[in-house]
Amino acid sequence: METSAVVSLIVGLLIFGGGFLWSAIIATQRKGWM
Amino acid sequence: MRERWTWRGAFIVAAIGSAVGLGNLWRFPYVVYDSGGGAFLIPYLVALLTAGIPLMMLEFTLGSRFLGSAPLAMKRAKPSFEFVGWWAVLAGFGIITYYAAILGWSLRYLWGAFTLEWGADAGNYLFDKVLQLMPVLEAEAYGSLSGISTELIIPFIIGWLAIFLVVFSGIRGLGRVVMVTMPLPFLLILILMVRGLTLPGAVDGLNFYLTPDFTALANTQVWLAAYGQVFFTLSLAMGILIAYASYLPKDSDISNNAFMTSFADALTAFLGGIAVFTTLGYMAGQLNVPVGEVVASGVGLAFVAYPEAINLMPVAPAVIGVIFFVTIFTLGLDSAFSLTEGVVSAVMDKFSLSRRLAAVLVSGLAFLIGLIFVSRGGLLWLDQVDHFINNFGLVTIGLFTCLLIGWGYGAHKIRDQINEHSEVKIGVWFDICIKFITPIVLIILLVLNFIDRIQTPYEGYPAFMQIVGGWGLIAFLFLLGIIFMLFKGRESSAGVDDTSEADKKEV
Repeated sequence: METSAVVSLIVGLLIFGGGFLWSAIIATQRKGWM
Repeated sequence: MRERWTWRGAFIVAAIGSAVGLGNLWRFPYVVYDSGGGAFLIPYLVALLTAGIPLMMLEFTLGSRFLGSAPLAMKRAKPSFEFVGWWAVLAGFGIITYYAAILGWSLRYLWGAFTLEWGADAGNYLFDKVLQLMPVLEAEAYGSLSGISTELIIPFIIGWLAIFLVVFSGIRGLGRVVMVTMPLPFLLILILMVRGLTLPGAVDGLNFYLTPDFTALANTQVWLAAYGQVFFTLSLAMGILIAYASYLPKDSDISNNAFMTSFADALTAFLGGIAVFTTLGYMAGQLNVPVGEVVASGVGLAFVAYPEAINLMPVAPAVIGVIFFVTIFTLGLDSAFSLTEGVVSAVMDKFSLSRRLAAVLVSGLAFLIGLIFVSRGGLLWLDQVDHFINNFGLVTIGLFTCLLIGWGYGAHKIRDQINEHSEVKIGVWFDICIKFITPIVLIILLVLNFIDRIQTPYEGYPAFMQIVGGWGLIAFLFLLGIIFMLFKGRESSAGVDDTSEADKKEV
C-alpha cells in the first residue's frame, strides 16, 4: 500500500474516530448519558 | 405534555441513525475518490467544523429551546419565520416518498441475496427484473409510470409498515428501535470492511480511495463538494434534528451532542469507504481491469457493482450478500423514520392531532405518493425529484435558516443558549459560520446548480418532467409552506418559557 494512502487512512481514523471518542468521553465524564 | 427521550443516549443514537444513511456508503466514498483522495479529508473537516456542526447546533438549539417541530420552533423564534420550518418539513416529506422506495429495493435484493438471484448481469437484473424499467426505456416513454413493478410492491409495503410502526409507537418506542437500527449497520460495515481487507487486491482499492492528490485542494469544486457532502449527510434542513431535539430536556448539552453526531457520521462514512473500495479493488483484480473501471456510486454501486463483486467472493458470497443488503436496509430505515417523524411532529404541533392519527395520515399519504417511485418508470422520477429537492430545496432551506436565525433572531442568542448548558463552550466563530461562511457557500452552490440546470436539463429528461418533478415541485413545496404558515392552526402555546439566561441578557 502506498505510504501516502496509509497516512491518509491513519489521519482519517484519528480525526473522525478521535473526534467521536473525545466527545463521547466528555459526555461520559461530565453530564453523563442519562 | 410533550414526549421525552427516556435518556440522552437514545437521542444521540437516534440523531446518529438519522444522519448515517445510504449516502454514507454509496456517496461519501465516491466523493472522496473523485475529489483528491486522502487530501479531501482537509476540506471535509473544514466543512464539518464551519458548516455542518454549527448548523447542527443551531437546529438542536431551536428544537430544545422552543420545544417544537421545525415550523413551531421557527415560529416561536419569530412568527414570520414559520414558513421555513414548513419548507424543511415538506422537503423531508418529499424525500421520504422516494426514500421508502429505495428501502423496498433493498428488501427485494435482500430476498434475492440468499440465492445470488441477480446472476452475472446485475445491471439487467436491476433494470429489467426488479424495477421493470426496460420497456419504458425501450419505448423512450420517459415520464410514463407504466404500472407498478410487481417485484417491488410487497417489499415497499413491508418497508412502509416498518417505518409506520416505529413512528406510531412514539418517541419512547423510536428510542428503543434505534438501539438496534443504528449500531447494527455500523457493525455490519465493520464485518464487510474486514472481509474486504482480507481479499487479494484490497490494497489497490485502498490506494485508489485514499492516495492524496493535494493539487485538488486548489480546485474550488473540491471544496464545494466537501460542503455539499457535509450538508447532505447530516440530515440538515429537513426538520428532523429540530423535531428530535424538541424531545430533549432544556438543559441538554447541545454542543457535545452535535460533535458526537457529526463525527460518528463521518467515521461511519470513512469506514464504509474502506469496505467499498477494498471490495472494488478485489473485483478489479479478478476481472483484470483497473479499479477505475469498476468504481461506481449511488444506485449503481449498491445494486449493480457491489452485487457483481459479491458474485466473485471466494467464500460464502450469499452470506456477504445478505450482510450487505441488511446493512443497506438498516442504514436507510432509521433515516426513513426520522424523516417521517419530522413531518408527524409538525402535523401534531400545528393541528393538535394525536401522534397515532398524525402517523396514519402522514404515512398513508407518503405511501400513496411513493407508489409513483415503485412504478415501472419510477426510477426516472426518483432521480429527477431527488436531484431537485437536494440541490435546490434543501440548499435554499439551509440558506434561509442561516439568514433568518443568524441575522433575524440573532446567532449570538443561539450561541448563548448553547453555552448555557454545554460542557464545550463555543465562541464567536459560531456566529461567523452561521451568518457568513455557511450562507456564502450555500449561495454559491445554489447559483452554480441553477446555472447548470438552465444550461442543460437534468439527465436530458423531457420538459414536463423538469417542470412537474423539478422546478414546479420546488415552487409548489415553497408555496405550500407559506400557505401552511398563513393557515391558523390549533397549536397550544404551552411548553416554552422565555426565561433562559440568553433571553434575560437581551432584556
